[in-house]
Amino acid sequence: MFQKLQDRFDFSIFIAVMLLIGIGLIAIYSSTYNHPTAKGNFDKQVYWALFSMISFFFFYFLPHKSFRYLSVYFYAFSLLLLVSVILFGKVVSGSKSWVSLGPVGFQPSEFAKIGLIFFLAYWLSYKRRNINNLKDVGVALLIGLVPVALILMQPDLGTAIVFALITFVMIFWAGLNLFAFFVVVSPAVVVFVSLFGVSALIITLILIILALFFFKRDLFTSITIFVINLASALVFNYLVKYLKPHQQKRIETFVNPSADPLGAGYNALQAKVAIGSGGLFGKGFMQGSQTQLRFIPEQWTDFIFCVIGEEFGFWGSIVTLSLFFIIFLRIINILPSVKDEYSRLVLVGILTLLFVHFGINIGMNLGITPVIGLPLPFISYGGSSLIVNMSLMGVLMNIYKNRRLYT
Amino acid sequence: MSNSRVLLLSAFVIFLFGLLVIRLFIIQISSHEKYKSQADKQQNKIITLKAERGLILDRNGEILAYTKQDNTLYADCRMLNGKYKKDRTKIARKLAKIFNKKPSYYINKIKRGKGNIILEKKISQEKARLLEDFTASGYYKTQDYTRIYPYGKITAHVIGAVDRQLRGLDGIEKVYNKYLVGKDGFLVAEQDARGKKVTVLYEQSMNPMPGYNIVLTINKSYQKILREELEKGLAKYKGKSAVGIIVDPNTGEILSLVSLPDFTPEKYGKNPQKNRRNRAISDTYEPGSTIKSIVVAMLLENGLAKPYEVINTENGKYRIKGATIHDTHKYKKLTVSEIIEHSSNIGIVKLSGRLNDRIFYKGLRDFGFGNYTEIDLPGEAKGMLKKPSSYSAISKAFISHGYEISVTPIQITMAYAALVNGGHLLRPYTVKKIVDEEDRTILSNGKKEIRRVISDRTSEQIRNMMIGVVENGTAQLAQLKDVLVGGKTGTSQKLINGRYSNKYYNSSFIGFLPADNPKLLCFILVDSPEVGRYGGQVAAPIFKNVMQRIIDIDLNLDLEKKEIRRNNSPITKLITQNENDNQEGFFNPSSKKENIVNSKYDNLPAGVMPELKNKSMREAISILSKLKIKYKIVGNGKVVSQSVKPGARINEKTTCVIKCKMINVPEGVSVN
Repeated sequence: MFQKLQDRFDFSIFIAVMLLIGIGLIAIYSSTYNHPTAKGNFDKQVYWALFSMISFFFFYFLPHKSFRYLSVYFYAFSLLLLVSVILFGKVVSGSKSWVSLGPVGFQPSEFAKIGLIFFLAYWLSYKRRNINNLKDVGVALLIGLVPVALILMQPDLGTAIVFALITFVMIFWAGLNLFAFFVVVSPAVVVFVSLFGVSALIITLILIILALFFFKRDLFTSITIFVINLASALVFNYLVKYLKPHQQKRIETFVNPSADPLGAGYNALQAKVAIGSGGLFGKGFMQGSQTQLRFIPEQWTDFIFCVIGEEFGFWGSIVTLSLFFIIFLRIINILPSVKDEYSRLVLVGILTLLFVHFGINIGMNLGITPVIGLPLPFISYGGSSLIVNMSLMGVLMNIYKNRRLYT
Repeated sequence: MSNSRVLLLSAFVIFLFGLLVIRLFIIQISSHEKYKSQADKQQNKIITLKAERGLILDRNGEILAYTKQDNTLYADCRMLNGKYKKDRTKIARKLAKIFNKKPSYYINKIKRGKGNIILEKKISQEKARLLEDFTASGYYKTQDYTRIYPYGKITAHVIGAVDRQLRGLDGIEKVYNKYLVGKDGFLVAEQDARGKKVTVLYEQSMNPMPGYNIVLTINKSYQKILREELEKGLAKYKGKSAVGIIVDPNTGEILSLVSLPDFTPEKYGKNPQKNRRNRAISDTYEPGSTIKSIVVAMLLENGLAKPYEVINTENGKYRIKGATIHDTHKYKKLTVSEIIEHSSNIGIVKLSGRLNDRIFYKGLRDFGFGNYTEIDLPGEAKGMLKKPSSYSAISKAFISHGYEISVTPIQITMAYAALVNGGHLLRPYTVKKIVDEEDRTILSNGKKEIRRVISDRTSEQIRNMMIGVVENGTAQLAQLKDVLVGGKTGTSQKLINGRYSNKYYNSSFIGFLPADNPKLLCFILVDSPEVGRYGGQVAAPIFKNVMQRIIDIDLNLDLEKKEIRRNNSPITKLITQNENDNQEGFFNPSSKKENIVNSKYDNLPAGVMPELKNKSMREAISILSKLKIKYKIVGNGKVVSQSVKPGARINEKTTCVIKCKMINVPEGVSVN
């Protein structure tokens, strides 16, 4: 009986997700207890959690072909939302990323993740497309980069990075050869490295030249690729100047976290202090002084992991990380058994989405990635993110259930 | 479907997971201590709770030093100007109401100010209470503490002063600092990210322990009188500086100690060093004739002289080993007592010859010279006492009348206390006891005898000689109306640029009363008086004024006052005195006419008239009573003639008429 059920519903992922939501609620409770403005967040998150369960099962029970058919509409609707948010959205901490739906705020960029994953999977799996031609790669990149551009206009760098990475990984998964992948990814790497100064950039450019020798393409192609890399670094650094000051600060802080301990680096530093002071077993539930004395602003969102680290210590952190690890490995484990290319691509998209959020969020809590405002899936406070993530888990579970079918 | 991609994905996931776990381990386990202390540092605000510094009280519980807590109100102009006008108005209105000023006064003050400004300084407690609950951003108050000395300069040299942090700098404040400071407490408060106090962690906090209170031996009234009279005296005689000490000679308690010029304790640092120096213990001087009583005591103690013994005083000029000693007033002969009374240099120089160097040195050493008295005040000097090995041929002669030796006022005072109290050299002290908040005694000082230096008998004899000094000798200006006083004057030329000056003197007087059972011993020293020169002229009157006032005001002193008639009828005086004298073995109760000093003449040869000339009237009476002959005295002062010639046989029926004459002799000094 259980085996039969296990065949249609992956309990390891589901339980891990449930546990993460539970941990999230505990951490939100602790960090918002008696807080002057965020007192009600725990209750709200409980409602969101219940609501997200409904959407999880809604997607779980949808006929599995429907995703494919809905892909185009989802994507189109996503773009519509992203455009409207730029036009009508309300500004929250420097970014226009919210639209109001009656009494509740809603982040279109969250919903757009579903649209992107579905549509990119649809396009990449269309009639066994061979991705290794310039036109197809171009279109695939365009599908990804249009929402990226719209999100950057909000501007929301973190989410834009997530979209870009989802796009890259899905294209890579679709069978892009190593050289093409190199061509696509290297400008992004160069842009990232350029943040760390000229010498890092030069070293990276030298590595790219060496890589180009390794690929043994003709001189013209090689030079073109190199010029694209160089240009993207320059253009990016030019564009950085047009970023909002708080975002520039964040990038600067990432490069040199201790430069401004009371300014933008404050959060990163306080997060480390909170986690570090937790020690092996933590200070206990509601006993995290760093949390309770509110040294980290809005801790229930992007810095929720500090609460866990401080109050439950190294073991609590490891348990949390391990639950994510179980989810990621399980998804990778499921991948080869999925017969349908579209579904596999959707799974890869979901995996990338969760993993990027996880990696960057934990990374910024531990001070190894820049503070770019990405919530920790299932744990951070926030309705849009939880509902979208749970919906995607529903999709994932649906795919698992129907893994033996071709569409 | 490509397995390699699955592998690549898994590898990447595992790699990143590993990376995060390692990073987590570094932060939470390896660097745990670092982050923990960082967290504690920013979360816990330690607020020091200042311990109240203890009080200093005089022997009667009068407060001589206390600590006042003040509130000072500040404004941070940066937070109050421009768009923050609302708070500025709020502050101005509130303060205006309390301090009876116009709100515009404060508004303008803040408008003009830059950074932090003081709005009101050291406001009173009542006003502080009114402002207790008042808060506004940009407004804050601090508490500071001021040490208050209600008697200011009067007690300055005893009590000393404190610095800004209320740490003792001088005097009692310095020596007993560790008892006075108490122990600061602290409040550990958890503060949130905005620095707002959230909760107080009481189990980690500690209440301050107030400092102990110190009860001095000082009598504030004495102190006030002594200072006033010294100041008057300093003005009158135009001296440079002055020292006054009053001790209880029986316990060593310092009842009063004044050094002029003095300082305002609240402004200690602004006073020149010469004002801050406590001359009573830090300055040494050549004592001059005051040392003579001590030399005589040594002689008597060692059986090398007798009070009535006559010494040839060479008519005022005496050469000894190439040096010439002069007496201010010329005498052919003086008894040992008279040598003290008239402060004869020649007499004492001759007498000191009887003491060998070692005994002479040891005697002075035993009286405390050349050594610290260990008084509980800072900065004591020990003076200079030559060792016999460095004596020149005339050293002893000079030391015996107070040169080639330097002493501190407190040393000579304590030596005199020993002279008059029966021979007990005591440690002087200013702190009677130290008590805690609930008046439990923490430490208590009492009489501490350093050594016995002379016998009761010698002490008695010296006391009587010193009564003679006041009654007949150099210190007649120290006489009190109705209390018999003893004492000794001292005048020494100051050594200026290696030469003894003929212009600058140290004029001193040490007196005690009541003379028969001393309760108070008072030392007065005036440095370089321009009006007057001799201790008897300068210091003795100051002593008299001080003592008269003390006797008049201090009912606790409980002195039996008796009428002392002088000049007109000296006998009456002595008889009156005898009648009130109850000292054991000092007089024969059956014969009220016996003189107080008669015991000294026990071994007079019976039936033969002794030489009375040049003896003091008192001695003469004493001797005549001992001889049990009838006598009549004419005049007052020194015996100038006697009707029965010395050596003539006498019996109980013999009547001897003695003529006396007052010779007012200030002592003299002499140098080579």
